[in-house]
Amino acid sequence: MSDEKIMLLFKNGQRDKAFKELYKLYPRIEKLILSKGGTKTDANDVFQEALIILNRNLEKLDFKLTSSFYTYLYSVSRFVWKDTQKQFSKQELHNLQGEEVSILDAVLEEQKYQSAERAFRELGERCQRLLQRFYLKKMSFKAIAVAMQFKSEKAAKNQKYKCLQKAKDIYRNQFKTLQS
Amino acid sequence: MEKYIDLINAYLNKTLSESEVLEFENRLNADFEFNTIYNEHLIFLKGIERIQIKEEIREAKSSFFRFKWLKSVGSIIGVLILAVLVWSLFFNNHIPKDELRGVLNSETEFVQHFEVSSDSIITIEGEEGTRLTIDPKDLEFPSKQPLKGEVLTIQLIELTNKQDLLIANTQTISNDEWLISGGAYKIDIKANNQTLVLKEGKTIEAKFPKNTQEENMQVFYGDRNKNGYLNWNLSNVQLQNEKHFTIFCKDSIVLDVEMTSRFGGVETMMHLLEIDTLGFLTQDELNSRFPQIESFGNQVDTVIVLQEYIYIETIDSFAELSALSIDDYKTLINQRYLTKADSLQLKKNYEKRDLFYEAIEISKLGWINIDQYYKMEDRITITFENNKDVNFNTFTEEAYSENSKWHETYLIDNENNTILNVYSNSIEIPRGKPFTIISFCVVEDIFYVSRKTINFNEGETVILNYKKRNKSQIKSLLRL
Repeated sequence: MSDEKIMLLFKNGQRDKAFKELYKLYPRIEKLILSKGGTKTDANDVFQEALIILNRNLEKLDFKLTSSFYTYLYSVSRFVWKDTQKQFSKQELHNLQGEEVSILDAVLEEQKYQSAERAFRELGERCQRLLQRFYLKKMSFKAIAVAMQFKSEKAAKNQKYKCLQKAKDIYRNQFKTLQS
Repeated sequence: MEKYIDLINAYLNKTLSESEVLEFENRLNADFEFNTIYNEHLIFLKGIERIQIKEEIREAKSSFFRFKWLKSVGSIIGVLILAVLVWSLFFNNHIPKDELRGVLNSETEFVQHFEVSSDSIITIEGEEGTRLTIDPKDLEFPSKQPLKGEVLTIQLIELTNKQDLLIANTQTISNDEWLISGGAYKIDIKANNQTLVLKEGKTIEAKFPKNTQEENMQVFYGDRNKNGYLNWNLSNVQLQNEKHFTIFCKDSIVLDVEMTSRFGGVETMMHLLEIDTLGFLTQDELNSRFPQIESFGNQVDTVIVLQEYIYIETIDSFAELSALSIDDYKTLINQRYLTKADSLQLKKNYEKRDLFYEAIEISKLGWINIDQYYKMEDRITITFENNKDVNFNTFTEEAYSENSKWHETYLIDNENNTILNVYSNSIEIPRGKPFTIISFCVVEDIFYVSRKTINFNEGETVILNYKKRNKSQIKSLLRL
């Protein structure tokens, strides 16, 4: 499938289908990571991050893809891998130019969301399900109350707030730990 | 804090009014604490969103590896199929002796089946034009039991050219006398899985297509012996070319020049139509009687001879007649009456109808051949040798059990419809005539083939060099 058609899938909200098409590029990214001393699991993780960053950028109004999907994903994967391995020297960072800078920015920005995800995953299962129903599935508190057997809509809302606060507390603690 | 979150969610979900949005954005710019809460909430929502994106990527990954796996399995299966095909094409040359005759005789490929009721007289027509008229009352079971309204299955084989005769292993020989075939046919009639026979003194009517320009063809009945070799025996049935009832029409136009001048230059035409019946004529008789007529029309069983003329009649000016050459005259007729398309159409119809023999009465079902004897005046003897020490003396039934090696060898006359099975180490052939020899043999279950063309003026030894071949190549090896 051509890049134009894949782009159309993203624009039409068919992200899942776009990912399926883009996954065909995985073998070449895997080759890159293996050549850098990574494992197949590393390659999987790196490619996953690259796809997430690509998707994140495509949702930005000011983002414009100036190369092919492959080239972009290759560059992002290279940065993700280097960042994971903490291989950036000061000189390298200093010499980054143009798109490389924005890619590195995107990689670093995504790390904040990774931390939020980790915080979320530390919540209890019931909290995770509750927040997912509200934020991802866009269910109303009434529907959530029925589905999760809360006494009332209000009880569901209260619980959601508590779960969110708990997750944010975890996130902040992680951040503090990282900083210290 | 909770109300902030609700407000942020409402803003992100675009459920705020225009003024509320404005107020929200102003506060975002002015209130640092609110801004921090908002940004932290966004980060957290994007963190949750990662879970959904990861799920979709996981699905894409599974789909990719599933496809890759299927592709690999497909490729392996493809390679295996290819290997089997290559093996069967190039290396599958194993064939037991018992199978050789079976794989070489493809007569079943030519069988046409007709299922008919046995309660009335039946007429069937084969693909090559053979027409059979059968009265079921004239048939019986081999045990002499009469039919009791059973459904009849008529199986008809029509072999009208040399290639078909070869593929069906239908040699053309009558008690050591060579024949030239004008078509071999097999008629079997079955009921309740038993082959029926004609009652004593009864016949079926058969009308066979005329596949050859050769005349004086005769009818032979045939039987295969246990080794599969056919032999034909001359019948007493007389075979004659079909005749058609013929009507002659002469369609004339007279241009009367004298009348033209008499009426001030206006042409006067007179149309004359003359019709006569000519009785029953063969095509040859029609051709010799009307050599200038290019085409004949036909309606049902009647041939119409349409002769068309334009007469230039002059009485007082002879010059008018000589003004037209014969070619101009013919052109004038063709332009006016016989367009090319009409002419071809009429000719085609006529040819299709005429290429038949008169219907004959057949007293024996099974193999029937339209043949004439091969005129072989100057003969030479050729002897067969081969690199596998296969004995060619295979005519007798005993030969089959006595020989572990077996051959099937065909001698094909390149100029006539004559095919022979070779079952002796030497054979007489006409001097200076081209023949194709195709020989198959099985030695220790390995299949070998040798094929060569000969044209000898003196008796010689033909050495057949057998080479391993795949049995799937038999059809192409038999291609003439």
